[in-house]
Amino acid sequence: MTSPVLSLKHISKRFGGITALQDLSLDVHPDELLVVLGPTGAGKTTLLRTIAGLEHPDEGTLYRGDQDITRIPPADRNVSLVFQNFSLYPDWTVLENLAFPLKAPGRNLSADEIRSRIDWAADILKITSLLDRPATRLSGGEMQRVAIGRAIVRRPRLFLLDEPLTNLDAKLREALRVELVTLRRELKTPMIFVTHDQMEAMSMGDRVIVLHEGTILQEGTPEEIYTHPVSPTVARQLGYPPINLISATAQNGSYTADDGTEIMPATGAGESAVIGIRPEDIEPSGGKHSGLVRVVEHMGPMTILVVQWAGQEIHMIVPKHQKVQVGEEIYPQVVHEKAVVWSADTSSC
Amino acid sequence: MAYLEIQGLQKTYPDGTDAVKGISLSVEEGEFIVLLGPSGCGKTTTLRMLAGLEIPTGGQIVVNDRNLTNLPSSHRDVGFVFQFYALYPHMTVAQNISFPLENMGVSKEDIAKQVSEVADRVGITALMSQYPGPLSGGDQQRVALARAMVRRPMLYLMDEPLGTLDADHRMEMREFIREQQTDTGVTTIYVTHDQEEAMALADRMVVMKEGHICQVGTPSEVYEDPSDPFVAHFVGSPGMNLLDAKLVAENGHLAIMANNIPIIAHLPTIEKLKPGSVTLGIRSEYLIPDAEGPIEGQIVLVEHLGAFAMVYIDTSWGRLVMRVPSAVDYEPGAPIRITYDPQHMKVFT
Repeated sequence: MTSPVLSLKHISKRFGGITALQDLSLDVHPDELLVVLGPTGAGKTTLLRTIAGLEHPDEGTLYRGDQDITRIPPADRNVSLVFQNFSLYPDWTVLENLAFPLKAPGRNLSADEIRSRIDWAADILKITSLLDRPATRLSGGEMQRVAIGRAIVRRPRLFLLDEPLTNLDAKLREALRVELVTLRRELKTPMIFVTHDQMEAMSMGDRVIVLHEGTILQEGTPEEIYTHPVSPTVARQLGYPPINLISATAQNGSYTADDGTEIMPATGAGESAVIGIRPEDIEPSGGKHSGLVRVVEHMGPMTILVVQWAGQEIHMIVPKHQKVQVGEEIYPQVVHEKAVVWSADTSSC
Repeated sequence: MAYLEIQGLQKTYPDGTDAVKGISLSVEEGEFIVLLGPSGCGKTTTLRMLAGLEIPTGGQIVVNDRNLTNLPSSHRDVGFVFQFYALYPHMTVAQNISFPLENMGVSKEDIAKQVSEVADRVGITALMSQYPGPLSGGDQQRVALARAMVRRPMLYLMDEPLGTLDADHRMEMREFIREQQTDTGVTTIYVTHDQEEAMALADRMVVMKEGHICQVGTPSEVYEDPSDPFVAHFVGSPGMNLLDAKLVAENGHLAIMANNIPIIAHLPTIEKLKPGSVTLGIRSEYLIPDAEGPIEGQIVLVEHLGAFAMVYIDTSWGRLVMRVPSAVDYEPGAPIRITYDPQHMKVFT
């Protein structure tokens, strides 16, 4: 594997009594889109700001290659940061907004070079026709395109994006997601993309880091984490609808839920476990215990069911041609080869 | 006559903006109707006219044979939930939820029973004695929903009530709303720009654009058989693949050609069908990898989405998105040939 472009070693950061990052180590590889996924308060933004040099870690070191950059000021790090809220100068045109980072003292770029970089970025982001428009007259999606443009004209070593799609309409988010991934591939510049949205993490990440209370719970490709989550907390971070988590005890060859529902075959006896079952890994018939269909959501290619089963509400995905009614009794059967079993004492994190 | 009749409803603002351009809709008692469309389509204005917060400039609203068109909001008996919750800060959560029932003269015992049921379902039982101020945004919105849905008014009217919640809670609250509405049987009009939310909740959805209704139907009807390219693209994630094609006269009948490739599809039975330009539409799940398929392209992006994957392909028809069960076998940059399911190739004239 090629050597990382950036390495974080044992980084900790506290704000007053609150620990934002706890002994966190991480490598960023060349030409990858690394997604940092976690809920509000997980430390995602602190991580980005530490990499950008906007926060200094209390402990630990940042390396760029062999060089220790822990104390290097933000301007010398050659990273571009894009925020959730579009941060454009409202009275300036798009062109002026894009030119600004290039006119910084010390850059010494010629007017021609500045113009050619702007034209290049505008072309890639399809904002050429907007160049003379003031930022106040842009739609949300256009503003975020310009904000991304402002990051790419600088040709940084690393892009840092902090939930850049969160404030956009669902349809627009979908389109920009794809644009960002293809754009990054063309630029071949590594990108760290911070989000709380599992859909963005799954669809965009070459690699995903699941962050929780300042520490990394798991890292891997989206499929690895989706298929082999190390804990229920991680499992719930990826996938939609969320994974079903059922507490069960092994008895008489079956993992049995508290209400007596036999979930799936078990080896051993007496152990308590949490069983994680993805909604697509439960068949609506063939099982032993009945469940009551409470909600049926027709989502186009698939149908989502909410079913009262095993003493709780579970989610199932069934193909759209499968006709199921609210109030119907079905007999869920778990595709047990695909279920994940955590022993109860390790499943608390 | 249906329970709710909207007839030729119009709203023109004094500045000449036509927000709603004469829409008509019949809603049966107990139905869950979702008004879906991009910003500016008139969905919120329509809802506000139903609530009595805007006075229509034309048409009428009749509920249960009663003409409400010019009735003030306070006389309409509707339960309203906005995107931004409005709770009474000086009342506990329990008092906030009981308040509307007390006003109606419901007995103390019934109030206690109904309030505790709804609190249990929405998951706020532990918060009942707290004041709203310190609660998280998500919890406040749960309380607001519980307060609106504990009553059985003539109509529930909801304007993006889940807009401020994060993805996990959105799904949970969506299910609460649907279950509670199913139980109370109160006719509901719900506004959103999020097609996924619309599909999940609606008995019938009403897709709107620029002040008029494009299509009314069940989620499956709208998804499978959209009335026009706008609806086809707006509904579904991703939206329907759309491509330009031509109708050409050939041996006395009409044939469809897209980029010089003959297309097999059912032509709409319109007598006046003439040679000329048409738009073809095909859902991502009806594109199929096929080594001998008529469409040739290159894979640009593969999205791993857990239960399935999306493959973005650049073809001579433009970019197409194909849904596949698993991302294995698809690599960006690789050439690919695909075909389509002719039964599901839509022709928009």
